Amino acid sequence: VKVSGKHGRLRLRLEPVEVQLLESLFDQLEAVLAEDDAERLAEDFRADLEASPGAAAAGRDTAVDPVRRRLSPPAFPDDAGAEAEFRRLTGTALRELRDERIAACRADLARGGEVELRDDGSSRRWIQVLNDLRLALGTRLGVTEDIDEADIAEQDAPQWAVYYWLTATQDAVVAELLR
Amino acid sequence: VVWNDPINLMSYVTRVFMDVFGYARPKAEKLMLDVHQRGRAVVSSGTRERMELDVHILHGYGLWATLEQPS
Repeated sequence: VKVSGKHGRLRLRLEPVEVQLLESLFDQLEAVLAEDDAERLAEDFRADLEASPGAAAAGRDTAVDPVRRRLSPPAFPDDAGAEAEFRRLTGTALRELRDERIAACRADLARGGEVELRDDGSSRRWIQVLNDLRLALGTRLGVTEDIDEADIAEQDAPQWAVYYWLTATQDAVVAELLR
Repeated sequence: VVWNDPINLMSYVTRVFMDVFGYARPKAEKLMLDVHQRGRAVVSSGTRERMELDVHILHGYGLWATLEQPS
């Protein structure tokens, strides 16, 4: 991928294989978002609270997909009632927001490997969608603050390569926006 | 309150604070560094309704945000 910013026009030039990769990552993320697990998530937070206050914010192994947990973290980790109400009000909107930006980015890709980020809305949704993909993949891989490359299992190497590619791409776009 | 996490990039978090709160870059960077170095930072305060909206927006950006009542 090449990220270029000239005369205030930001552009992503993606190789065909990169377009395919993004499309397949969008498919995977959509599948995770489509899981109808609001009930299970709510149950999960209640269990967290009973275990110890604040445990939800610290994260732990549970039956709920950790990616789903990471994409909709608790707003009130120490108050089950307030948390349930917050989820009822915002849960669907949050999911729809992610679905909509995936759809918009897909539409950008459908026009070819050259994506022009011509306004704030399009550049915002691209850095957000790249972040969603990094959160999903990074959570699966168990990314920590300091990763030692020697610790990466051989079978995970391709996934790590994708993660680093997403990171570099997002960072390049954000750097252009901060210029 | 925004919590540190190992995935969100420092540059991205700075950009999000500028975008969501309209903070100038130095203020957004300082808050980002607070999150990174201290593990958490208060990035916005106000009425409960307003803060619930802010948290919802930050969740939309993938940040790890919670609400707290001042004690």
